[in-house]
Amino acid sequence: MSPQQPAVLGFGQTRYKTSRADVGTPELIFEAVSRALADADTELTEIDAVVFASAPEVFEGVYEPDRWCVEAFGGVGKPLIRVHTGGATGGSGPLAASRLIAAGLYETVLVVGLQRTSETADAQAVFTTIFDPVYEQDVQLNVITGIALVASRQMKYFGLTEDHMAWVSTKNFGNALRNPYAHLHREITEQEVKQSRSLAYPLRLLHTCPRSDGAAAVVMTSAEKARGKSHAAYVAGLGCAADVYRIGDRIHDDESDFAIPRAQAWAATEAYQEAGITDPRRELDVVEVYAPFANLEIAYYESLGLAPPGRGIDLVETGATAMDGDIPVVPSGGCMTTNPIGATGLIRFGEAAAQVMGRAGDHQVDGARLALATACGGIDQFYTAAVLAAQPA
Amino acid sequence: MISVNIAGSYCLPPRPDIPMALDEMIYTVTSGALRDAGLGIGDVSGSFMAASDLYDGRAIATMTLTGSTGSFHKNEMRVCNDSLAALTLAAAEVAADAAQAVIVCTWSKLSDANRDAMAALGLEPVFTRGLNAHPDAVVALRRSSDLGRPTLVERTAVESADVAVALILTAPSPERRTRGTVIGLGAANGPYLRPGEPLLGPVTAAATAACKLAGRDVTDLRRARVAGLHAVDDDELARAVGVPRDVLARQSERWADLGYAAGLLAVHESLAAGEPGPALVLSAGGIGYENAHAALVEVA
Repeated sequence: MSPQQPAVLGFGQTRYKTSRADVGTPELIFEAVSRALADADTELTEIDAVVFASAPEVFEGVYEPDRWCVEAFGGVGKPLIRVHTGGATGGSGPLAASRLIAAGLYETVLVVGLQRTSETADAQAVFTTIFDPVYEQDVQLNVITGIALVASRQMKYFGLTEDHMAWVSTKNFGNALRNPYAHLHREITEQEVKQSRSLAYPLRLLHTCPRSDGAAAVVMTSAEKARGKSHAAYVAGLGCAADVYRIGDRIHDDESDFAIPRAQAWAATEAYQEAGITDPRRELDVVEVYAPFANLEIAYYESLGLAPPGRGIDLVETGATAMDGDIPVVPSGGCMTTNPIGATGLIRFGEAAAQVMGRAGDHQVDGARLALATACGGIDQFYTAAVLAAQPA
Repeated sequence: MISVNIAGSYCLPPRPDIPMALDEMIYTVTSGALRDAGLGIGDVSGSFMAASDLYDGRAIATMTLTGSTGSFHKNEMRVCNDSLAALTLAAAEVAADAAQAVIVCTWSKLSDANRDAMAALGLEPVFTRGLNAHPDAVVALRRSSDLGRPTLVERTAVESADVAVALILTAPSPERRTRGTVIGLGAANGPYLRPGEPLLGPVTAAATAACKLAGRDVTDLRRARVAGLHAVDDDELARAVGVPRDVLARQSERWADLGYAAGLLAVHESLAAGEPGPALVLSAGGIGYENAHAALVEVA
């Protein structure tokens, strides 16, 4: 039996806010799943299995939150698997579903992403526990200080400036104004970015993402079944890679400098090979990259093959990644304007699928036929990449 | 139909306190399984793991473990279910032709954790956590619903256990070592707390699905190996699966909580027992056995 090509039939998401106190967690999930099923023109009875993507359950304060919410996504009586690869969880969900479909185990799979970070008093306190409990937790490393180290090295070696980061922030916030679901709807100027509160040099508040409550869902099926539907996006390539844990182990040569998220390159290369992409800058029409910090988006331009190593800033200086550029990046506003952590990668995947289906609304990139979606987790450690195409292989 | 080889297997069997750091436990089983398969780390393209943040005391249990789990520069996938779910995703990866060989690994180190503190966190926080219901009480409520009369379940005595298990899955090939073959997989999920379906409904559905995928009937089964489920007696389990009681094999009650490692340990035990013919491995996690998984393994 040859593997089935997976496809996406529909995408649904909630409104995002710092706290969705207006609904309980099951209701939040129901909101996303209902929209995904409607978008996919699919009944719950057609779902053969569910993949639930949610990152640290410490955020929800419930052990195994998928069980608690099982009625909200119609999981009773169906196979249910929960994936958790840190921030990359939302990328791992559709990857797992794709393999289940390709292997012929299940034909139609619902992927649900959830995070409710408002349930925890301090997200960074949770993140402190991701580090080695014996040697590093006392150092008080967290995601912000970790990524500040990346930005410092980008500045030292690749000419990154505050101007470059401010341009990315302004671009993404501007894009989010066209996305009705985005958490932050606010027009900002580069000057405001540069004057925003300093978090950890060189990172400022408007270089970073919010913490969001929200959920997303995607309906996936086999390409064969998708052909009978009015719209579908086809999974053309998938990649996944993990880097070593210790930051010091990634700072010792050109290939593994901490300023170069090499595992993102490994994951993207795998996805490109499967999709037959040899020149991503020319062949991709749109990129939904999971970049929670402005400097990381620029580093990913390089990891994803959109710019040569160390020259991500060229795409900023030429405006290539703006909505009217030749390779728009996060037309949805991306992770910097909406970040329900475990669901964020799934939003990137759903947005990329919506783009190639021509269903992205006001932030649609004209004529998009090939899109890339990524997810990242840990401190630049876990990565996924998915290429979505308008046509089956 | 699915056919994925189990080329190697290694386990640190349950003990009250394995005197190793978590990394060392995991490295011991992943390297042992690779040696058993006659493969090196360069031969595998991914690591599929089942691990619990709460049991490991970290927000991302696997983050510091990239070396010992073998996932560096490779595909890393992790589930928060019994390890038969990790086996399912790993087998799908191979069956989908996305990998030729992968590691599946799982662990539980309860000697570093406070089990009683974790049990309450499984309950929904607004309406039910305040009841302070023990998971055994949830099982009792469900059985009461099944039987239509109040029923007590004897509280399962739990001794903290450390355990780690790894398997190596490969695509079928005459050149590769074969300890067994995964020929069927199934899973089903029941409702959360709400009674209204038989307690073992998900277990029955998972077992039936695994046999159906393999094109086998339950009467073909030589062995049905049950991971966990200690609050359910043999007769009830045999009825739920549809096999004679003497086909069942149970894990020691001494280790009533092996966390997510229970299922993969049962697969390892099937391979180690060397009993010919198809063996069904069953697990059910959650707060009332509602998350069931099954694998049908043809032991070489």
